[in-house]
Parts: sequence; C-alpha cells; structure tokens
Amino acid sequence: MSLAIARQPARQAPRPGGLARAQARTGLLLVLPAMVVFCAVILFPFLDSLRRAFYEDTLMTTEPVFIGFGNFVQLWEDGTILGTWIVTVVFVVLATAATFALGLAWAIVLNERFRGRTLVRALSLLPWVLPSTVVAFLWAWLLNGQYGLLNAVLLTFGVLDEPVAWLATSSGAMAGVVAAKTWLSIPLFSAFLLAGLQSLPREQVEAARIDGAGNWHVFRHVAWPHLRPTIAVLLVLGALGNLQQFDVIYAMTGGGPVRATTVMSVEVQRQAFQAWNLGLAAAVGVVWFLTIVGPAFLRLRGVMKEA
Amino acid sequence: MLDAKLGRRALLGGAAALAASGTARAQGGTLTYVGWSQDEAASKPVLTQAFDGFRSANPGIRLDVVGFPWAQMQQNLVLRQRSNQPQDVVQLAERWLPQFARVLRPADMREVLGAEIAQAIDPGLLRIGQVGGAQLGLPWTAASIGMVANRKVLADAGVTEAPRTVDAFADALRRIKRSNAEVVPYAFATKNNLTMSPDFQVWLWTFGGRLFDAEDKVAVESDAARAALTFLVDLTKEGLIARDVDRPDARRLFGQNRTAFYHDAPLARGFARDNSGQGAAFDANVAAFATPVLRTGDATRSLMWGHLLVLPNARGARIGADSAAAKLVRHLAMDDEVQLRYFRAVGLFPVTRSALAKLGDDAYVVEWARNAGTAEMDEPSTWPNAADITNIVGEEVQAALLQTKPPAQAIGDMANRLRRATANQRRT
Repeated sequence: MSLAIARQPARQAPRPGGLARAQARTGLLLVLPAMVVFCAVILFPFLDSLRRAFYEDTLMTTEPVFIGFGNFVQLWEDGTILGTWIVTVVFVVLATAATFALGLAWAIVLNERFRGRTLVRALSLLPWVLPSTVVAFLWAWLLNGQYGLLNAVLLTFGVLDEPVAWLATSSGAMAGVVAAKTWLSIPLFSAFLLAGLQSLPREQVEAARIDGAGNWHVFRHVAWPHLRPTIAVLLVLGALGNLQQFDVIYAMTGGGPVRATTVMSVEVQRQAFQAWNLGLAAAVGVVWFLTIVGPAFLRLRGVMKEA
Repeated sequence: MLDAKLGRRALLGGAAALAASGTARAQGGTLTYVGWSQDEAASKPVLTQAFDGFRSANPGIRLDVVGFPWAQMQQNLVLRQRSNQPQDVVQLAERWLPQFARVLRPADMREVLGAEIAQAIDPGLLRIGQVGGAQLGLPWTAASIGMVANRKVLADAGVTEAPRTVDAFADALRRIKRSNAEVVPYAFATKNNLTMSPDFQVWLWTFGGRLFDAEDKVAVESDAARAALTFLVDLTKEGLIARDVDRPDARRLFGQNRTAFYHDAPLARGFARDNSGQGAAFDANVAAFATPVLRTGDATRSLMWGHLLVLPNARGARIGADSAAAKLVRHLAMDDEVQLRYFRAVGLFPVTRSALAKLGDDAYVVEWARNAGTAEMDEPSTWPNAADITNIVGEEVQAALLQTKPPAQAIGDMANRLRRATANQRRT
C-alpha cells in the first residue's frame, strides 16, 4: 500500500495565483450574461441619451444635429430649469422626511404587543400593494375641489363654509403630492424599521429599564443607535426613489399648478412627449442624473463598505 | 466579376422595388390605416363596421388597421415614419396638422380627389385641413370647440334668454350663483394647459386680441389681452369660475346640472348623456351656445376642431383618385351613410353638405354649425414648438387665475416667454 503510494508520480505543485485566476475566469463567465443584459438595457440607453443631450433632435429634424452645449444653454436661458430643480429638491426632502417620521412612528406601534397586531401589520402593506397611479387618482379624488371627500367631510362638520380647491395652489398641490407619496411609501419604511427594531436585543432594553430609563431614553439611547445603519440606508434609498418619482405627481397634478409640482421627471416627459424635443429632454435628464448621482454615490459607498 | 455585376444589379433592382413599394402598397394589395378612434370604446363598433364595409366593397385591397391611444398617436406616427413602417392613411387631430405637414409631407387632397372635395364639403370646413394653401388633410369630422349651456341650470336661475354680450354673460353668471351657491356658473378650464390655452384664446379673440400678428410677431401684449384676462380673473374672484377644473370635471358638473356653461367639442351632448345617467333624455338640457361678444354685431368666437385624414407621401409619388388610399378616404369622409352612422353613434358631426342637410331638424347641430362658421385656428398649433407655446399660455393664464400674479404682469410675462420661444422658429 505504502509502495504503491510511493510509486505514484509526484503531482506538480499548482502555480502561484493559478487558482485565483481560474476562479476569476469562472466568476467573469458567471457575471457575463448579466453584464451583457446590463449593457444592452441600461448602459447603452444611458450613454445614448447622454449623447443625445448634445444634439438638436425634435419632431421636425429628420436627423439629429450636433449643437454642443446648445440644449444646456437653452435650459439656462429659459430660466425654468432652476425652478424645476428647486421643486424637485423640496419634494424629495419633504416626502423623504415625512415618510421616515411616520414610518418610524408606525414601526414602533407595530413593534408593540396588542390584539390584532398581525392583521394591522398585514393591512399596513395595503398602500404598497396598490399601483401608484391608483393611489394618485385616489388622492386626487380625496382632494378634488368639487367632489373631494375631504371637502365633503369638512363641510359636513362645519369646518368649511365653501369647498376649497386644495390642489389649485402651489403649496396645496405640493402638500398633496407629498402626502400621496408618503402614504404610498410608509409600508416600505416601516417594514425596514420594524425589522430593525425586532433585531434589537431585549436584554439591552431591560438593562436600560433597570437603570431607570423611561420610554424616551430607551428610544434615544438604545433603539436609535441600533437603528442608525438601517436609517442611513433607508434615507438614501427613499431619497433616490423620490428623486425618480413620476407617476404619482403626473397623475395627480400633471406638474401644476403653474409648474408648482414640476419635478425633473415630469419636465423630461413634457419635453420628450409633449414638446417632442428629445435633445432638450436628454439635457434635463443629464441635470437630473447629476442630482441623483450624489445620493446614489453615498448608497454605493455604503454597500461597498458593508461588502 | 460577372457575379459581382449581377449582385449589384440585383441589389439595385431590389432597392428600386423597395422604393416603389410604398406607392404600390397604397395602390393595390395592402393598405395601412393608422388612427385612434377605432380603438375607443364608443366609436369602435361603428368604425369596425365602416372598415368592414370598405373591405367588402374592395375585395382586392387588404386593409390593415393600426391603432394607438390618442395620447400616444403623435409619438407613434413619428416612430413609424422614422422606421419606414407603412402608413398610407392617417388620422390626425386638426391642431397636429401644421407640425405633421413637415414630418409626413402629406399629399394635397385636391390633387388626389380633384373637384369632388369642393362639391361635397363646405369651404369653411375644409379650412381646418389646409396648411400654406394646400389641402393636406381632409376633414373627417369638423366643428369647433364652442360653448354649451345647461338649460335647466339657466331656467332654475331665472335666466330665460341666452346672454349675447360679455356684460350680459357676467350678469347671468351672477344670477346663477345667487340662485344656487353649489353651482359653478362657468366651468372655464383652470388646470391643464392643453385646455386652458384654447379656452383663453376664445376670450382673447372676443376682446379683440391675438397671440401673434400676421407677421408672426408676438402680439399678446395688448390692452385687449389684458382686458380679456382681467375679465376671467374677476369672474374667478367672484366665485363664478372655479379653480381646479379641467374638461372632464366640467363635463361631469354639466351632466349633474352643476354648471351652466363650459367649452367643449360637439361631443358635449354625448358626455352629458353619459354623465347625467339619463341618456338622450338629457338632450333637452343641452344647448349649443354662441360665445358672447364684446359688442352687439361682433362675430362669435370659437376654436376650429376636427379630425382629419391625411395621405403621407414623403416620396412625392402620385396618388391617384382610384388608389386604395383615396378610396378609403372617400369611404370614410365623403360617404353620407358612413358619416351619419358615425354621428348617430358618437355625436361627431359629418362634413359633407348632403349629410349635414339631413340633420337640419337637429337644433343642436344647426346652432353649433352656425356658431362654428367663424371658428379660428388654434394659434400655437401653427408653430413647430406648439407644445411649448401652449404651455406658456396655459401657465400664465393659470398664474393670473390663481392670483399669483396680476393679469397685466401675466400678459407681459406671457409675451416675453413667447418671444423667446419663437425667436428661432418659423411659423407654418
């Protein structure tokens, strides 16, 4: 037995780094299909629309004409892009903050023990299940100046003397779209935060209680630090989602009144499919992309660190 | 070498065949129609019947009917044109024609159908299909965005006579509001630029103003325009115009006897039937109403409106009167039976003299047609960047109505923005 082993030819020692190279090749092959799809579906259209921002490309032009920074100059001279950018930032900040605050409050409620908790948790997901355009039309109906449920209730209880056109003012329209988007997003935020709260070790809470900490102190000094990584991810994801928001706003207000809710996505749609100016729409898209890239970078950096 | 020559010859032959195929398609074989109405629930049965009728009458022609929703029609027409997909007969809204005249380069219908057009259709109606003197679109249905009045609401308020002048109109609105505070006396569009712009233009013209003059210069910075906008703002301040009203809202209010006046196409009667839940019984409440005038004797103002049929002809090929495309156009727009069936199904007015004559006992049609006699073309639509101009007009009107800026400032801002928007553009 031992001789037989001795007669076996000595195996050639693997070359240093060979295994790593083989693994890298296998990894590359595994990633390749996804990369091809990514390039075809995301990267190429992205680069193409980036290129288009430097061309005049309208319904009237038979072929796109290179005009350098002409579209960006037009955007700047027109003066509306700055307003659109500000509206976008206001919407993102308000919608993200409101969703976070209410989502956190709701997660704390759902984390408590009470009868029917499972049912309430299930019902809490309802806004998430509904299509966003349905939610938008629901809220538009609630706030409608002529037929709205809100007016009907307030008039019935004598709070109002006459109907109010809630979506007819700049602040009312912005509050309306923020409310609709917040209602839509609360389930996602509260689900994340609830998961965070449930992973909080009970011993830590009990120890704080023994030390005499009340609810606020437990939340402030035990729960909050524990939730902080979740909150960071959630805020970045929420801000990104709100930066990309289109359907709720477009279906509720169409960007009005007087551009009060015209965010970047609505402006791109308006330029591309109302004005048929694909070059200008792409230029707005570039500004939009540069706005998104900040939070996206933060999120990516977080992911890389976690990895 | 021989093979190479043969190959080139074959290629050249193939290219020639391909170039000719567009014309060949339309003259025999397959004919492609692109439109939106045949896919809409209300008009689908009657148009399916119309297309089937064409197929039966022309068994040698294979008719492909391609449909897109109205909102996606322009986009798809452009995409089809750019990708060389066939579109031999195309349905267009009248306000799209100036822009699509450049894209589709339609054939002149007078060259295709000759004198029979003028014999069959009134020159006033033919205007909606004309660009630069050429008859690039044949009206399929034509009328105006005019006003409708709700007889019941007027009667309940004791308004027994239709107000003819602007002052009488404002007084009538006040009486209506006094009689029932829940009624919106005048459902002028106060949201959606696509409806605010035409509604405003009607009043702008009534007060003697224009967005652009005959030399294509911005002309809106005028006393007339300021007076028109101030008039509308005052009505809003008095609660006679409601905020946050779009065309669909106005139609619902009208069908529920909650508004006395609003602007719409002749389809208004059909919408009132549906929204009231009373069907044709509600017709007694619906009256075509001439937009009030500033001074007695002025012409009433409204906006041209209609659907057109055009024959895209980018290659400039000759399209004869016997071509398949011409036959389809004749069948849809000049056959009285088809036209009247369409009217009875959805309320869209026919265009031929003979078909209109058969509706002489319908007061709504007669009155509407009379009011539409002085209808004018939507001013923004004659510019290549019509959507921008429409948005500018709508936004400034809305800003004034919502009192975020005074009417005079809104008109001034509108003028400045229109100057910038049209600086490097050429009107069709």
